[in-house]
Amino acid sequence: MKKFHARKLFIMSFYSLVIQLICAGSIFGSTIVKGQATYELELPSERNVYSLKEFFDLTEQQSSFRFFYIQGEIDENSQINIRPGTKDLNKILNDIAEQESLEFKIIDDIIVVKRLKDNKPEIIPQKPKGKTISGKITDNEGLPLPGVSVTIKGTTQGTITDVDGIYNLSNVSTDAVLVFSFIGMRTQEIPTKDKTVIDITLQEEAVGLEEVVVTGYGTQKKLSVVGSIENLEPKKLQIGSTRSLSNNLAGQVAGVIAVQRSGEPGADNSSFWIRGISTFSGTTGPLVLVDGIERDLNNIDPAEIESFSVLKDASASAMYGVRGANGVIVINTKRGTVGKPSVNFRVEHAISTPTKLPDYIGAADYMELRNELAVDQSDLPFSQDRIDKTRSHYDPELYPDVNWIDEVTKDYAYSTRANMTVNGGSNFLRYALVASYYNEKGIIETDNTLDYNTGINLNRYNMRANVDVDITGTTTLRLNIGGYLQTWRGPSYSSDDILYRAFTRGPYMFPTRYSDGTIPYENISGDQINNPWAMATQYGYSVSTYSQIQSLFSVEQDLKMITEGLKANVTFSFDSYKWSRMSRSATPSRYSVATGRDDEGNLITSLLTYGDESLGLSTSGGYGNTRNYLEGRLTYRRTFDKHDLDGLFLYNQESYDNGSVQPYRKQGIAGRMSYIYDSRYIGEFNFGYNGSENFAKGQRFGFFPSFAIGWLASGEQFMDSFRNTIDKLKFRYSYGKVGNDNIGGRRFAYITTVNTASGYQWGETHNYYYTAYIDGEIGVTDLTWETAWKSDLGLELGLWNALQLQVDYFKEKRSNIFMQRTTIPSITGFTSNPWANYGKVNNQGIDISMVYNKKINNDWQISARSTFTYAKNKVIEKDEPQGRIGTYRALTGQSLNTLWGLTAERLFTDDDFNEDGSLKEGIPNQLVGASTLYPGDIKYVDRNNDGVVDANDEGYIGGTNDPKIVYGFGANINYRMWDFSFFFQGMGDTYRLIGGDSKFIPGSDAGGNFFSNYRDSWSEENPSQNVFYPRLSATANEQNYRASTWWKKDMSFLRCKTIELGYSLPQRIVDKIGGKSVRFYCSGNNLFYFSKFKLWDPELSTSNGGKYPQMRSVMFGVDMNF
Amino acid sequence: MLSITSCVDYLDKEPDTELTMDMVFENKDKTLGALQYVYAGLPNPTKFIIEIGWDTMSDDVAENKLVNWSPYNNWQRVLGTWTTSSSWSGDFWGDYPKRIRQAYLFQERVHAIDGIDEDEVALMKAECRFLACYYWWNLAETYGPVPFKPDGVYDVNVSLSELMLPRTPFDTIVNYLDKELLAVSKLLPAKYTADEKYGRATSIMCLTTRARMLLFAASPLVNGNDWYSSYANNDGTLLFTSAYDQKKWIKAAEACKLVIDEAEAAGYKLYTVYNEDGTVDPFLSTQDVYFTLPSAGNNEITFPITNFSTTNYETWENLALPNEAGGASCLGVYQSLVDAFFMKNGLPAITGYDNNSALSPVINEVSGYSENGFSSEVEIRNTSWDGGTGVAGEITASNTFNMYCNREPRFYTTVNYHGAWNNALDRQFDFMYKHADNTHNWNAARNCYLVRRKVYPQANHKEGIKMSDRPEWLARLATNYLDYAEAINEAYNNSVSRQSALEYVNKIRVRAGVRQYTTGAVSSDDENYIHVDDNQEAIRKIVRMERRVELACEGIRYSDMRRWMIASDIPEANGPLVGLNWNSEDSNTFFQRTENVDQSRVWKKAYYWFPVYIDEIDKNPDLVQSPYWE
Repeated sequence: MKKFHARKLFIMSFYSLVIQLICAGSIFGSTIVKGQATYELELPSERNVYSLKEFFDLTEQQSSFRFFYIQGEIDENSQINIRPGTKDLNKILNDIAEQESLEFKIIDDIIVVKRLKDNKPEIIPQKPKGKTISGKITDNEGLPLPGVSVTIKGTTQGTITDVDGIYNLSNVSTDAVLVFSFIGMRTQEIPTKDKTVIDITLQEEAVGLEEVVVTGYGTQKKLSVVGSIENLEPKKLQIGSTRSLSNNLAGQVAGVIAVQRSGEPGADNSSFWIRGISTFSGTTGPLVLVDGIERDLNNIDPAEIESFSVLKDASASAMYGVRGANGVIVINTKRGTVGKPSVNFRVEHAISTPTKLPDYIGAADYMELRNELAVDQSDLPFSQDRIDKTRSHYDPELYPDVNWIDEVTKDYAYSTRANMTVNGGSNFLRYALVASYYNEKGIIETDNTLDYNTGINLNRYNMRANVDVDITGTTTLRLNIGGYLQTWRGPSYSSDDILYRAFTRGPYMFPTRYSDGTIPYENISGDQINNPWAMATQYGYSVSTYSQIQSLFSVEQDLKMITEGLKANVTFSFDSYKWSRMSRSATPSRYSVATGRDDEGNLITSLLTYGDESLGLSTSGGYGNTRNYLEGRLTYRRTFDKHDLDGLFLYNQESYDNGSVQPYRKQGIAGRMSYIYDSRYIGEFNFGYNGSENFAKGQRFGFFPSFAIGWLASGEQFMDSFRNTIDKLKFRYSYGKVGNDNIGGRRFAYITTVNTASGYQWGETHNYYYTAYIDGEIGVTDLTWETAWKSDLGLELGLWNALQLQVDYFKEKRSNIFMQRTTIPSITGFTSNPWANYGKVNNQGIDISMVYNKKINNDWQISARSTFTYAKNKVIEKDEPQGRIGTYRALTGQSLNTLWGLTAERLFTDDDFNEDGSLKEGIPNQLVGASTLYPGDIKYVDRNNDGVVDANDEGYIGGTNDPKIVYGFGANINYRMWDFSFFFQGMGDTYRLIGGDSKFIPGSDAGGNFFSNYRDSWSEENPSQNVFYPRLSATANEQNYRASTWWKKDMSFLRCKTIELGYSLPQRIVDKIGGKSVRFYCSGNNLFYFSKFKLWDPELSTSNGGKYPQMRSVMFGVDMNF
Repeated sequence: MLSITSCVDYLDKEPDTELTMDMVFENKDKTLGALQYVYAGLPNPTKFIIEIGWDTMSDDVAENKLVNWSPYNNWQRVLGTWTTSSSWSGDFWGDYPKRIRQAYLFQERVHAIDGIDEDEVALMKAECRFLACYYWWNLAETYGPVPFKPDGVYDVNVSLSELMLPRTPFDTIVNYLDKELLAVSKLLPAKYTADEKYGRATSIMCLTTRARMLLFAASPLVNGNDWYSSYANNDGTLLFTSAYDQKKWIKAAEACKLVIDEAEAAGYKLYTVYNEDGTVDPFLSTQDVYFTLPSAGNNEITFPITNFSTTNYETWENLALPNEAGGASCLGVYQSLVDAFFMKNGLPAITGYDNNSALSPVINEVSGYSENGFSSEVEIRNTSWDGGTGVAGEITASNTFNMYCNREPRFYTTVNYHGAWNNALDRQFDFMYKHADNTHNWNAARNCYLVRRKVYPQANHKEGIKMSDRPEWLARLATNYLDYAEAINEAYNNSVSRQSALEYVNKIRVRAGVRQYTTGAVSSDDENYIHVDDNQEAIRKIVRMERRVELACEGIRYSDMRRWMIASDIPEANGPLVGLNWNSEDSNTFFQRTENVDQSRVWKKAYYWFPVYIDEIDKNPDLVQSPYWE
């Protein structure tokens, strides 16, 4: 009786005990009694009927086991049958469990008794008792696979493998078929027949037919996906030495157009668009969701990512309604899987150097050219003596020859990345822990003689803990905590500024620093800062700190008690971001340029400006934002015979506060219903119903429906005979409506605002001044979001079980584009033009992805992949002046962001001029810059035929900076323990207007550097039309440098993005050191590129090359799994 | 967790105390601010150099072309590369309609509150009416017949097609504004005594605007000019009247006289400084009128501009000061302005140019003017002005180029020539090649002149010496006088009208220290008078000559060039800039009229009106471009 009390005492705290046990981690996952504890009872041989209580007492007397249960939940007087002679406690418990619908859990020497909630005993089916089957599951390398699901077909009975890949399944009838499934592996079905041990080797799925893909608000089997969704293996994003994830997108994902416009650490994020740009208002980039929350793509470490999906068409993104028009990127972070902790450790170190820096000519050539160009040849700007002495390096301090680009940059920079991922868990608790470190240094020069370092140095720490806890058999809690801290240090001047100055500072003027330590400086046309090296190194530094905490908490409740397949989920998340900056600036003392040497050989210079070499301090508290998100969702997924049903319904709201007068808010509901018949015919309906605060009540909410249909033709019987050739053939089509409320600057567009302006001053001495208040933005109550109607026709084809091809044709019609009216005559006097939903843009194109996987034999395996994206938009209607539409000055009919300028016809030739230097009759006068024209100057087309070329002849000249074509291709080759891969990425149909700067054309502005191709120019000796530069001149000539087709350069390129060679240690060695796998690798990134454009890396956004270049790097790394 | 209502209202903007226009008009300071917005469109005369350009686009003030500052975009307008897409910082077309709209809205909204009583409200409304008229007129004066909607504001929800107003005939605009300005003038006081009211609209400002408008409207450009006889809206509405109408001059003359009478009655008068012996000191009078505030006795200003920013005086003064005094030394004057000043005997130095070239002046031999040789001694006059040599009474030093000798006082207070004196630096100007005031760069006097008018004698920006509290204006009584003189001579072709014209020209000349005109018979060496023939043509000529020098550098010449349709005949407005030879330090070649070919100006027939910016034409299919612009 004593024990009874003890039992009772514990009974009361049953649930708290369970929670303690969970926390301690000693949990048994299965609902059936585990077999470790074999204990034999001695029961009276003649007796076979006991009450439960009697049985408990007996057992407790004979063993150290104690029973625990909630009083009242179990009928202690219930009669049970125990077959005489049965001794095995396990067996007995199993029997009792079956008879009484009870559940026993043995935890050490405690046996927890629970009543199964539904009276249907699901664990132990009402079937003839069967045998126990066990076995080990391995992958094709012989490694055990934990977490493989083993189920009996047609039932819910099943188990999963433990960390050693072992499973045990009891009560299996002889006619049962076991189903072994594991994500990423081909599911196998094995009839048990009379076997009791079934060992299986699961094969990796060849780009899985059974693959599950992440879609908007959930997952779907890839087979059943009818929207246009592109998945990218996170591994593919873990390449290269760059910090920013977006830099690895181009060419990797069909449908994504991405361009990296700078290589500067911390500022090298790519711009990216899904299927191009379709609007001229607000943002054009996609919605990026990390774990369902709008977050920045660039500050997540690739190691944190479990899945990366791009939702391209309306059926995939309609659920995001008012936010989905520009496409959606859905990223999920890693979650734990059942098994012993598995540890991945990866370290890589890269050394990098610019892909291409502008190549300038030296000082002697520079001065010679300037002399050559001088108008008055009797008064040359540079003496021959000076040129000779410069060329012979006679006295580099007096006759300097400085390559400023070299002087402000280092040859190499370094970066390091380290990741550690720990992953594991039991059925009750699963966890994934990620810690990452990234460090990158920049190429801007530093001065080692200083006590402090001004060099660009970026550190980023990412951490993440994602935990899933099954608090009951049907309730799962999820907690994600992630975040990062990034610090950036760099010189006071921006690197773009420094590099631009290096471009504008001639090589002959002065050296970086005189040998006595003084810093020379020259004031040219009011340009106060003109020693680029000093700008890079002598003005102190600043440190910016960025940090973010990302959190997410969700509860998922399986509602199978209501109906099978129904689940509910509530998610709450908050993020907090902070930014601050600390500047420590200095100013060097600056000296005049040395004019010579005195008798003692000292340089003759004088102090121009006293500096302050001590470091000042200023801080800006900076900027921060917070975001919170709440979502409730119901999902339903069930299979009835040949009918698959999948449904989802959710509510969400979001509040984003960045210190603006009010937080930005969003709210909506979304739903999906998908139906699949016989895995062949697929129909899907999605909708979003959501609103934006920007619009007035009544205009706020919109309904965004979409549908998609698909036909898996390869599932048809008539295809059986082609199965070996065509293993997959799917057609799909989607159509739907999405919206965009991201409208740029204007908030609460329905509210009229008041602007302030400068007032006037009254009074003789102007003493009476007031801030002026005037009508501001006009509130327009019927404004609403812009609408995109998107259609997508897709084909998926699998050939020979090796090649997967996916082709999508898409078309989008964007309308109601939210914009400020531009055609209102100024004479009406509105202080700011009203906003309106106006404008239409069509966008269409194609994206293709192709994957090839072939295991040639046990030694050789090859895979290749390729993507191609083409997107072309056209403005159908824009609020353009009536008088422009239909002319070369109208954007209507052109692509967005089409380049603008004059049309260069050719260079003028001698034949164009009369004797007196005037233009011949009939040649339009050129009023665009030069007062006097010469042969070799650019001749522009008089586009409006008014007899003169002037600014009115400027118009759209075709081409856009943003590429219309992006493609990529690469391959992986595995040979035994070696692997080799490469990836190329390219862009086409991309242009840029270069120059546009008085200093750009060699010779034309004292000060600017000259590119080494300066001889590729028109001259009297070389009166060729086929030259890079028009006539060079001594002073800037706007006739030749202004924006025109002459300077429109094709910036297409093909870049070797990465080449990687890896070696994995043989298993026997790995085993010795207790690991699972160890791989060493070496990769080269951005090693080379091909482009018609030679002056600088064509991807950079610069018109003169003065921009932090993209980096080429060589990287060594090791990847270890334990 | 969330109540239904919180869900429903989640997207509502939470109430906060954001400012509305209604709240603005419940607050005195904010109401005054709203009124100041309407005022702030009044052009600050400093803008006549760079942004608006009336001075630099006339043949008054010449910038050095090597100055290539981005705000200085008037080169297009003077060098002949002016197109319909040339931007203009003045941008009346873009700015004034906003001021006008706010002027109308202000009248709808303003009401009596604590601190603003009903009388004040009435005044403010009248001020807004006046300002709207002013802006309308400036639009019309600049662009010609503009789309004119003086009777209120467009509703926000008006359809786009209703906004597509065509141009309104020029005379319609003028007639409306004539009546409106006259009506408003009766609601406003002629003068304010409180300092906080100085600069607020007065009846005199109102009448001055009206008089100057009617003067323009009576002028040859728009009165009897057949250039625009077929200039019409798309629907055929003619926009200019090409027939000459004498009544326009009569109206103008009456309007000009009305201002003068009202102004003089209210105490406005020419600013005059007297010598100790009681005679007028013309040097100090014509110099200090620009530096003397009303409270210090300058009652001449009939249209004051009180808007001020630190750059106002600095821009003009800084551009005109020598480098050594911290200036940019790049704001000169045209040779034709130098030529326009009378001799000290009141006779014109030159009477015109041969071959329409400023290189070939027709010298008025009887005046004593010479371009040969140098003075042999210091010239002394009765003045306490010490700007000639640093010594009071000394006008020119010996060895001064004869072109600059024996000129009238206004010449010396307007032009810094080679040898002129700078009080701040205590030295003479030296414009020879690479000498003190000619770096041969952008910050050098391009044709060897710097403007002196409106430059404070002691100004030295390097030393921080500036004259910040100076008066600025769009018109002063001298402007009104000369407007009247011109109008009355044209209005009635008779002796009486000519006497009236001479009366007011002579008032100016007395103050300027030059002999007066008379139609009576006087000997050529009469101490006080110069004979002028009693005919309209002769009077017209002397009035124009007087305007040229008296009103120089005040943004008026550009309008006169246009009104009189003489722009294309002015050598330096349609040809190279002329001056001394800035490439020379040899006195044989330096002291020669020299052309600066790269600073050659072009005047096209189209330039008489500003073009409407091409975007505006594109927007509105019913809007025709200004005449002779493509």
